[in-house]
Amino acid sequence: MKLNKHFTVALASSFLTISALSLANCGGNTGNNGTDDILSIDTLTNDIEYDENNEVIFPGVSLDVWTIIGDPDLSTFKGLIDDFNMEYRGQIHINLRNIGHYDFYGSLENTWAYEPENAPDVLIMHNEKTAEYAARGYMYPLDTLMEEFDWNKIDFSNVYENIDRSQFYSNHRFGIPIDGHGFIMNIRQDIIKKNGLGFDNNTRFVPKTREEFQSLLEALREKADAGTLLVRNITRGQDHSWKVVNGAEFYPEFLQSTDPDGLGALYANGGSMADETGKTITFGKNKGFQTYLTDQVERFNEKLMGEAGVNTEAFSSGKTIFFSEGPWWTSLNYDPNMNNSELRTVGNGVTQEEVNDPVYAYPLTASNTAGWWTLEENEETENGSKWYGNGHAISITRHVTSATTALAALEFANWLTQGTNDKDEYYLAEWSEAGHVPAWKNVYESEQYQALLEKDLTLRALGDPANIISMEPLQYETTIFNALANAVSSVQSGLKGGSIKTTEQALTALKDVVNSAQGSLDLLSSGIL
Amino acid sequence: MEKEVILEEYSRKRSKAISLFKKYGIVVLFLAPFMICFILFFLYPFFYGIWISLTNFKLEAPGVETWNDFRWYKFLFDKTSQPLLFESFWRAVGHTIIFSIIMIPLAVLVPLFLAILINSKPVGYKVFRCLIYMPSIIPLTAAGSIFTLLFLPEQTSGLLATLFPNFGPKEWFLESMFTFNIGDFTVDVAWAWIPIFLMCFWGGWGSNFIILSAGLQNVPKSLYEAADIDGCSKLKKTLKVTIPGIKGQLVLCLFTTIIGYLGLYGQNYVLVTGGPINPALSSMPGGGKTSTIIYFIQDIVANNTNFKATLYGLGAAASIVFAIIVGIISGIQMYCTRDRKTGNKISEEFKSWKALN
Amino acid sequence: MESAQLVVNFALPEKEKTRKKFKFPVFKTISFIFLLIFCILWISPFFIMFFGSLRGHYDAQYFPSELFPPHSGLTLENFKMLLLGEYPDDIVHNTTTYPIWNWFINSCFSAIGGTLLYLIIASFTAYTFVFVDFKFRKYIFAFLIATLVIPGTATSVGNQSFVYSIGLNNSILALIIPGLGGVYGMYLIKTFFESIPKDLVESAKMDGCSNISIFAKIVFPLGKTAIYVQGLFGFMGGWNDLVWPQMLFGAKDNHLWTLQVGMAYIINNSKTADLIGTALASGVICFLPVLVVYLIAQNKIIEGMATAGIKR
Repeated sequence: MKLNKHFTVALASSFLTISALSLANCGGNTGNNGTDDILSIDTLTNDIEYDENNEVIFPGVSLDVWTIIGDPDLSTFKGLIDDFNMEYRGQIHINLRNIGHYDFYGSLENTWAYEPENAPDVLIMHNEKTAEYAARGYMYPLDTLMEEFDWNKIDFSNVYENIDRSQFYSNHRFGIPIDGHGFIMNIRQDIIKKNGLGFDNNTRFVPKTREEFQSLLEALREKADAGTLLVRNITRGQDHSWKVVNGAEFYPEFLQSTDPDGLGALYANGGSMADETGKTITFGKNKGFQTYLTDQVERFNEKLMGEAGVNTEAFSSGKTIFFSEGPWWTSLNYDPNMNNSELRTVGNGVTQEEVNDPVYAYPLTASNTAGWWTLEENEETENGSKWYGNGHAISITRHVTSATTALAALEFANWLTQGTNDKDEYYLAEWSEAGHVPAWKNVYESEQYQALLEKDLTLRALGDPANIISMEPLQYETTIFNALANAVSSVQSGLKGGSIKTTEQALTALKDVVNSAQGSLDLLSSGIL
Repeated sequence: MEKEVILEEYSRKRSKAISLFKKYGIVVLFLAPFMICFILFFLYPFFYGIWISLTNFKLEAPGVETWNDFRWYKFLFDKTSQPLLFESFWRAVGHTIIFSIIMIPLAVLVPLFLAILINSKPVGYKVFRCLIYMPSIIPLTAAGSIFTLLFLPEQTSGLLATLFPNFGPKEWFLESMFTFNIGDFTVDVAWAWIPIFLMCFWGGWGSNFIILSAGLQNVPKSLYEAADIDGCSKLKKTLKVTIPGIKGQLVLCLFTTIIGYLGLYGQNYVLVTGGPINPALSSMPGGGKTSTIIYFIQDIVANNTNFKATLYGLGAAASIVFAIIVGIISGIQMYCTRDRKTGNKISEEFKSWKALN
Repeated sequence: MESAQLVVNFALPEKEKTRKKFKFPVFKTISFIFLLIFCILWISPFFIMFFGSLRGHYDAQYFPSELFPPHSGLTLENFKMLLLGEYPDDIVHNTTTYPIWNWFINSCFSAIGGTLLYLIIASFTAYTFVFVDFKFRKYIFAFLIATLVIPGTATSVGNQSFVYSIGLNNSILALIIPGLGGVYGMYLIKTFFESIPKDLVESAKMDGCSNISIFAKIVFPLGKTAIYVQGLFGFMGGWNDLVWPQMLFGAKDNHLWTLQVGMAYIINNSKTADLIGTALASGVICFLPVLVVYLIAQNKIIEGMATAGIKR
């Protein structure tokens, strides 16, 4: 490199030049100040006009709505938006933009920071995020807003409280819940029945408690090892006759989905993610959550549970009985493929008796996991028979500066959650068909929804929204939730990798993760950043 | 009269302006685009980065930051202020340095050995040269896909695990090779380092090989002949003639390799995303068992929006620390190689190189 | 005539020499055998990738060891899944289609567009430093060289926030613009230009040629190999870059990603058995353009790298 004699001179001169340059940097531009009172609605201009019936006039308001809803339920949602735009033609128009769940929050934050002019007016995202973005000042407190502009079309007493709780921050409402959903367990009821392992004299095949689930897993293992467990392959085109399963290939279930069931275990056992300040992590101390982790270790060691892997194939061929999955796949894919018509036609290993028995004719069933992770001492508690599910919620961002636009957004929220079409059918029920339970009592109890329940396996599995608990509102949701997910995944990868063999090791891993997350949380909440 | 003077002055000024323009206009025209880009996208960001690392800068709201009394540097260097961040950073530094120490001799000696073989010009040496260099041009992601397939566990149909079921660990990307304690500090070496090592070893030293073999060709033949007359053995010839003859290239390779491996990021990102998880550091940037300095920085400024929003200045501080380390190393390199070639010699070499083509 | 004779004269004693003391080339043979084995080993991963990408997902899952040839023959299934979003019926999960064509265009834009623009800017700069005399020339250049000790990492954090704040946060222009201020490539071009005889340029100046025409008629034709070589490096570097595009757009809308960022994502996502084929196929897609360039210009790349190495 040619530096020779100029090297020192150059370096010295460079730093002189540049120190001058860097001084110029210090001026900088004046960014938006982040200290806005998160509860204020002063940025809204009251430009509302009323018609003779005292109804708000919407003079062609355009709403930019961002949604996290993606395939496979996006098409249903788009259809609903089209209906809305049609109904409110000339008054309100919705421009829908969907961003995949992986990119949504990143895009939102980037747009908020760098292109505030392109920020959305309305957010439809997962309900556990509401508090975090409310705390960051992205949204308007809706109760204050409704009071200020005297808008009271929505009766919030119709919302299930356990789902609604995620929408409050600093005792103010920042979002309107739409629905609830969670991971559900797919179950091979035919195998349970054939081997006589069902509950209530072999008539019920879905466990209700942790003890039932555990005993069923153990019984399946025992029979498989003894070479007496009969299974059949229900894949289309295969031989459907009953055969003894090879015990070495059989696992009653696979590793749980990473976090939703863990949250279920936490809430069902009276736990919480963090204390009331939201700054101290408490999930690590919850007995139920700890048991959820140690159960996995024990079940893994006793071969009640296999490593996660490709398990749909194992499931349809009868090499596993349970597996956990996002709800929409059940109705869209597994139900039509696995409960296929071949099982209701005699031949190819199917007997007449089996055709007549609904358990054999429809071998795949699904269920939520309410009660599956509840410890015996908590079974009688209020949350003991509940389970964790998240859901979608609507919120209005501070990008909106006109009160008319804000009311238009509320109008839309009301339409989506409580609106009915000319046949008196709830739009929300239509949305539910895509695999969600409504967060609204009147919709759930409507005849229309009850009729849907009859034909949709996923909705039956999701069950009563009253049993769904959503996450508590957390200002630092991302950090705390990631910690929980990390705790579960470090135990699971430790099981796979062999570094975790005992329940003590799993608890140590949990302690380490919580400790690390608490460190990060202290940093975030200490105010020095 | 007066007018004339003015005119004269004007024309003088004008012609001066024109000649000035002729002289410097072209310099400005030719140089400006580069210098503007250089200042805007190199110098300015460099000092802006230093500024960020010294203030409580927020990515969402630039321009309102204030001096923060070296907070980010305290996090990095003072164990008591943020013990977990401190541990995460220094583990990453340790990973980087130990990996480099293992990798660097190999990445210089193996290509040197191959270059000596190639320099004997066996049949088809150009083809060999082309093939040996080929792994160095493959994008990291493509190489990553190959090594992922090789090292996946048997259950997910990894190639090695299927072909040699009893070889190595069951889960290359999850298990620990060994752990030991120094006091109460646990060192945990993950198996995942092996695929990372192989990926680096496969595609990491191609340019060293090319530079060294070019250097070998440039060692004057007369020196070998002189050594022959002196009755030197082959080994002695290599040690006494070849190695000193390519000293310059060796130094160059050594330093670029050191700098290259200090900046290790892509391999561990593509193969294991910095993992396996280290539970005790799981909420910290670069907390994985195979993270490196750049991984620590990337975790803050790119991979995690939460860190990006809150710890951005820490990322800047870490990158300044990294820059100082690398700057010192490249400064030493510049010092070592200074005055080696005069312009004259370079142009001779260029001519000989042109003649080659 | 003369030259032909020269060749003959030159060749004859050479031949005599070899005939006189012919020795079996032991070292050469050993080298050959070793290199042959080494090269076969060295390029085998490429075959793993190419054959692996041509296997169906069923093969990948149940016959992982039958890589060459694939159990069920060669199929383009993986490429169809990636490029056309045509998934076989039995794949239920991970059937997301990615905007791979967008990534491809972004990569091309960043690698080709960025390189061309840089070559223009850098070669004019190099020309100015070599052939135009102006005040502080040496000092400015020495300063530029001194900044080479600052690694890219030190500037990238500042660059990221700077690029974001000037409104390039959602524009693929951000992929190339920061690279335009790179000193190293300019420095290489400059060292090549230095070997162009100065007299040529001086006499052209005497004849009243403008700098632009000198550049176009003398310097560019003589130095185009250097520019070409730098262009190849620039292309490969730009195509293979992961860190900067990931820093810019990693957490953003995936339409802004480059192939490298996107493929790294796909590979991390498809570590399950039935989709490792798509990971390999995505590897092939990333690699093919570079491979084609390398095979065409292999000589130039190697020689260019060698000379660059010697020059430093």
